[in-house]
Amino acid sequence: MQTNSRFRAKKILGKILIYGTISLALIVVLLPLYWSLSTSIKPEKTILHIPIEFFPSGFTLSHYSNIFNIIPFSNYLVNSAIITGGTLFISLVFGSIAAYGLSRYKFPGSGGLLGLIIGARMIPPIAFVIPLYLMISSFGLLDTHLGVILTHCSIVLPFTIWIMKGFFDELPRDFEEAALVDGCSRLGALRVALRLALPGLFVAGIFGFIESWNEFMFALTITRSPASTTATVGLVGLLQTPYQIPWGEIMAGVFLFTLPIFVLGYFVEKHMARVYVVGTVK
Amino acid sequence: MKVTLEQVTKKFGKTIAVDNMNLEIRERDFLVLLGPSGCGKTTTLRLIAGLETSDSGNIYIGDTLVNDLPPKDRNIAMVFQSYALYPYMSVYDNIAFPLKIRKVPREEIRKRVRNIAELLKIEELLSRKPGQLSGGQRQRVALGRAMVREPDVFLMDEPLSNLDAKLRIHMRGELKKMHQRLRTTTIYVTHDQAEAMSMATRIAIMDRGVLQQVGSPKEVYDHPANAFVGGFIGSPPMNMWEGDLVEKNGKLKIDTSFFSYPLPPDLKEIAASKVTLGVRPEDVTIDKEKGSNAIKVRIDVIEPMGRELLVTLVSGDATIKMITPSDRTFRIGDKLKIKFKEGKLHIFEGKPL
Repeated sequence: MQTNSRFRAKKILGKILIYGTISLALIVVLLPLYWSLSTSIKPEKTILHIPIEFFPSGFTLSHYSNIFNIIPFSNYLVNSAIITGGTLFISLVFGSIAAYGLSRYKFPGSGGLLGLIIGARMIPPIAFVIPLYLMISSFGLLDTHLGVILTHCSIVLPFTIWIMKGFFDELPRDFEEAALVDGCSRLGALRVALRLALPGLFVAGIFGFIESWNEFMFALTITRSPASTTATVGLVGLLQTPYQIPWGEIMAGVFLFTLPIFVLGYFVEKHMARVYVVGTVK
Repeated sequence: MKVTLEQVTKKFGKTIAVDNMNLEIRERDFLVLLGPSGCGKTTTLRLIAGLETSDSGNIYIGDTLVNDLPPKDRNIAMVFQSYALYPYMSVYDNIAFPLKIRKVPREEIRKRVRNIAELLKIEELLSRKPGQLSGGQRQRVALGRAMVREPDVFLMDEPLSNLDAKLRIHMRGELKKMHQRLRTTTIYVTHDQAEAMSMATRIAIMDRGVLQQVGSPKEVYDHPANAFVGGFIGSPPMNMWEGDLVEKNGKLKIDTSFFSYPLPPDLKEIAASKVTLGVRPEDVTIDKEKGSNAIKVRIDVIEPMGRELLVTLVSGDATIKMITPSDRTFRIGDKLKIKFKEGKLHIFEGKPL
């Protein structure tokens, strides 16, 4: 009996520890989000009120309509979407082809090349802001979508190659060889391999999306006008508003800006789970 | 369609996988490439498929030189050891895939897939995914995918090795029946000599990249070209002893360190003096007469195999395997005299394996 109750006490303690840790992690992750949401719906007067209003006493949606008036925020969101889409397109297409080549063909220097690609990913981006700025400028791509897309690819592409090479390495060659014998060209065989490495494309795609959507530094250096400015740069720009910083509008913008990532996470998580289940039943 | 290999060599780094191979696979042959793992048989098959490129030599399918043709232009079909069915496609789509790639009209595809499915008795599986099939069913689908295109040559890379023993023997018969019906030239890779013997019209035996012998199952069994072939084909394997060829008073005999045995005069053309004597277990018989040929042995192990007994005999340090009808009773330790059936002795130059 005694050992039984001690065992139960241990079990309860374990549960407390587990749930305690999870709750702490959730607070750390969700509190800023909650704060931006609650600030965005507080009436102007109560935002900087002391003592702090943890639960808003009033409710307004005016910040949400204002954000689109005081800055061209819809433009910024569209720019972000175009740049993220472009970055993903270039990175996934070229990244998976490059990864396929590195995985399937041995050529002189192929090992070193892979090391170089990973190495490029490890250098902090700030180290090549200036060279990249000069390059983009000499291409005449300053203040264009393509300019930002290319700088984002410098981060996302190496990671895509790395992830996809891992997935292709795991994939038996039999499938592609069957496709070659069945009548496919090399490119057709790559299509079969890509279909089988779909979970890898998802992982690389999600990473690339978050990386490009959130990116600030390169976008700040390359963009000038509303024609190419991204949402991150646009929102930070509001901090330079003279007289009074519009916190309500900033927080409304932040919340709108993070929304796509949550929506994506929700759908992709379900899809990823399905992909894994399919993958296990050989 | 016949397939011809002319002085084909393939190296991987410093390893020679296929060494100067000359082989003609006749039209309608069911040729089995047989050998231990790493002997180059799969590489040979992949060279014919175009999945590897040879370092030198020529490969012809029919009269076409295919050295530089990609696999898709060789009009061959291949069944892989892993089956390599596309896991995300239904059985129907798997079988239809080679036709879709070739832009065959949809109606035609439907007709041909249905015919194949009927032939292989997999009609009710067409809408399933490969993951929902048993090993034997996957095998049939892989076969269906190969057959649907009506290729010039079938290539099969150990297609039965992932099946359990019973199903394997069943599928052997099915494959043989299929070949008799379609009459398509088939090249089949296996390391299982029983599979090769039961299915092949001709067998090509390889060892360390070198072709050892090509012939019908009966030819390679009755007249193995060398000690390797003799030892590799047949189960239990051939008895082999190293010895010296000696001629005395016009009579030929072999002296091993365990016994001496007279040889028929027609074996005289062998030039080497160091030779290997090979005798299959079923060609070892008990000698009831008093003869000078007899070898004295003692029974060491008896293994009943149903209709027959596999008896291990010892004479000094030599062991001799004998297969004998099970109607006789033996006891371990019994002393016997044995001889070898006339005309069933094999003399190979050099040492045994």
